[in-house]
Amino acid sequence: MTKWAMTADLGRCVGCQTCTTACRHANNTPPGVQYRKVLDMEIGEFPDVRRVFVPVGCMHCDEPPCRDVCPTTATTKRADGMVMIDYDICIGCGYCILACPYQARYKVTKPTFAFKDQATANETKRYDERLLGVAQKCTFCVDRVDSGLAQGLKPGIDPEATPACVNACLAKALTFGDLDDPDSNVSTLLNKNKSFRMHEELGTGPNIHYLWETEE
Amino acid sequence: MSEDFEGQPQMRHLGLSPWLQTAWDLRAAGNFIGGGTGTGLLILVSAGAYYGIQSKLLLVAGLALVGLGLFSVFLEIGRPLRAMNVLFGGKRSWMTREAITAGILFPLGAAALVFPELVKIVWAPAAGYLYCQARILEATKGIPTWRSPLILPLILVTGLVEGAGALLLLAPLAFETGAAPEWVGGVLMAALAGRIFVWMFYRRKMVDGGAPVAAAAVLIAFSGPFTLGGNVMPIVMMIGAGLQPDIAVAALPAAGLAAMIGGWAMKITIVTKAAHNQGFSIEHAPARGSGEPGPGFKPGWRKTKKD
Repeated sequence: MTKWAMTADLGRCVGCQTCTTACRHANNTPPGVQYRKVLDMEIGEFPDVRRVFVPVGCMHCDEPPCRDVCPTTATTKRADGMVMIDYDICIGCGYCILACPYQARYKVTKPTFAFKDQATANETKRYDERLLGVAQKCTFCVDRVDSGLAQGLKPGIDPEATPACVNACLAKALTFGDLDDPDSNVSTLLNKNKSFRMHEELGTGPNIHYLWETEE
Repeated sequence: MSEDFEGQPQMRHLGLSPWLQTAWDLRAAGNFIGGGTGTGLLILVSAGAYYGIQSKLLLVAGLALVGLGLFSVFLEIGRPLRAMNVLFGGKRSWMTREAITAGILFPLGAAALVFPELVKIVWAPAAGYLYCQARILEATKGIPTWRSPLILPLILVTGLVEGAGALLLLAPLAFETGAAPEWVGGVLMAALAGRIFVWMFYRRKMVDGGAPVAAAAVLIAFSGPFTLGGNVMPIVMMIGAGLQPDIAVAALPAAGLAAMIGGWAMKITIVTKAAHNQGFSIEHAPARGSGEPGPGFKPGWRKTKKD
């Protein structure tokens, strides 16, 4: 079996938001919608203050609460672990937005563009009306992964088959791969380093693993 | 950026700490208000039928309230023309189960208008509908004040309070005597006592770290007026009506109104005001360079001691 997952090395992430930009370019998301974003946390009090950058987005949970509440079955979980939305079935009730403890879902009810009412050429070309009035979120760039696999490429290794945010990461903080493969890049990283998952106490089984103490 | 997205409130992100959800507003709260009051009323009307009490007005009022609630939430969905898709998710979703139960409740209620004996079984889909509403909130893992297990008894008992309150309020129109049967007052009294009891535990649980600080603050501010105006005051009115029967004709409907509005205010508060999301947190701060790892961070939440 295959189980796609991501690791985010908190020691490496510099908060440059290149992954955010790459994601927005790849998915043509409107202003305010960020499938991938990087939180800027300031922890502690002077003089003992730390700054941590935390990439967040859909965690493609093992037990996704968004799927469990969806009244239309628009939200599903694939055999490879990716949580998907069927935009043609979703009614935009917003229940999944509330059920997600990672604030990873969005609903946009009218067209919005980077420059107010004026769509850029790229926005016009890639505008998808199916996304209006329904829930939307990170897909782990499923089209790239599936297309890459069909060409015999390896997601997480070959850029053409890897999520845009991972490809764009300057610091190599983000890694994508198959958690069920013990020799994969993500399995190796998780075996060698200490990690945690966000809000794990909620029992969602999130699949973005944060590395916080690495060997380096 | 908020002013740029006034028409798109779902798109807002307000930092690290939990922020107030904007996906469901008063229209969604309206579903819980109409559904709770309507089903509570229908349960009592159905129970009354076993004692030979019949009122088509109350039956229609109960169904209308549930219908208004559903219409209210219909106004909120992004793709209204696909509304029937809500029936697809019965395997997991309590929202689907609520819709399916409504599909039983309305035909049965309509049939009961023609065949009064059927009123005796209306309580079953009404209670089921109310239960589904409670489970809808409880299943919402992203909103700490909703996912508390205590939301279940709170919504159930509030439905009964609202139903009994509505019955007392409508009694002058529904019954020839102008008054509801005495047991309705007893039901309201018991349900109010139950609501105060559950509310105290719920509020305490939320304030003790079960909810983000901002959501707990909303509940704290609401608790006093709610306890006094929505619970104690109707109890006092009913006691007054018991001691002074000549004021009962005014005191009982007033008690019903206060109890019902208290429930509505509670639902508006929980659904639209104390509905802060989970926010973000990390368990450990990473080691950078030659430094050491640091403690975790959970902004917007009260620090609680770990066992």
